[in-house]
Amino acid sequence: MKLEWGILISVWIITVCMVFIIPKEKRRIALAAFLFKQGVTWLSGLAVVEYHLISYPVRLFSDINRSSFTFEFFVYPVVCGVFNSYYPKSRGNLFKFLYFCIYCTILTVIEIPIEKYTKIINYINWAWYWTWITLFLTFLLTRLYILWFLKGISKEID
Amino acid sequence: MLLEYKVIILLWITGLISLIKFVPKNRRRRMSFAVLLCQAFTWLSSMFHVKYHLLSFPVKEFPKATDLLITTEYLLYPLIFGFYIIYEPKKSILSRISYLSFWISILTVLDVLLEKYTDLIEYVHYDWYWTWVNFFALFSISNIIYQWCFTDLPLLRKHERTIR
Repeated sequence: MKLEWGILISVWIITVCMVFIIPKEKRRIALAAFLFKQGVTWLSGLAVVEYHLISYPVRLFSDINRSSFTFEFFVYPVVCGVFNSYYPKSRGNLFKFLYFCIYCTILTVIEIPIEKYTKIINYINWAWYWTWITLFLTFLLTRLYILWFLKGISKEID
Repeated sequence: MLLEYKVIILLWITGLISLIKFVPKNRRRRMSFAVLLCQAFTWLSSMFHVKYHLLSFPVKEFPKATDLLITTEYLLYPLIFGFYIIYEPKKSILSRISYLSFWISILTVLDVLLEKYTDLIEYVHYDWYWTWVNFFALFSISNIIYQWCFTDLPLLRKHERTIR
């Protein structure tokens, strides 16, 4: 139990620190990415718990939510904000694809030992590659939203 | 089918139709941002309301995953915020406050109707004026953040240019 709470607290501290590495002029983009990602991960996180794919025995706000408030409401959205504020938009497609893969792989690699050795996450009908694939899809979806958002923004300024 | 499920379906259909019908073409990005922004606050706020037994949601979509109601937190309140903000007049602070009060009153009436006639919302230790005050505060905070995001026009234009 102690180990789990130690991990959760350190995850919160690290993630709060990550907010400060977002460049000042990219803060609006990061916020839009954070909010979009949060909408997607929070809703899909609830669905995943509802249909018994994953459970989170040790969690915040445990009496009202059975999904992971820490990861789906805060950590993934912040990481996605950082992802979009450093997005290599002028590089080639292969580089962009690798940029996606690095984020998904790092997050998945962190999740595997947390699943194995702690009670923070428990895969019921789930596997690490599903984590990787769903992360990739939600990062991609958020990136598409940001592109759409910025590409016509001058039309909305009057 | 339960009355509550019918109301949920009705809310989603009206929500989608109003999105298609009443969001001007040049306000789609602002609308999407406003809805997403409000969603984060309504969920947090309702979480504390349920945690401290002020509100409860007896009939909900994902009862195994959460004690909160997704339809109101993700659709109803955020959409009301979105429509409030994209049509907000650029006038004096006093007229903006009365304009906000008008929208908050509509929201409160809807909330009270859902409370009274369905089991979707239940005021445990709560009353309609708390709904009014709570949403007045939430919408004001969201409005400030929204304005912050959309006031630096040169910066947004610069981002748009670099992305093309």
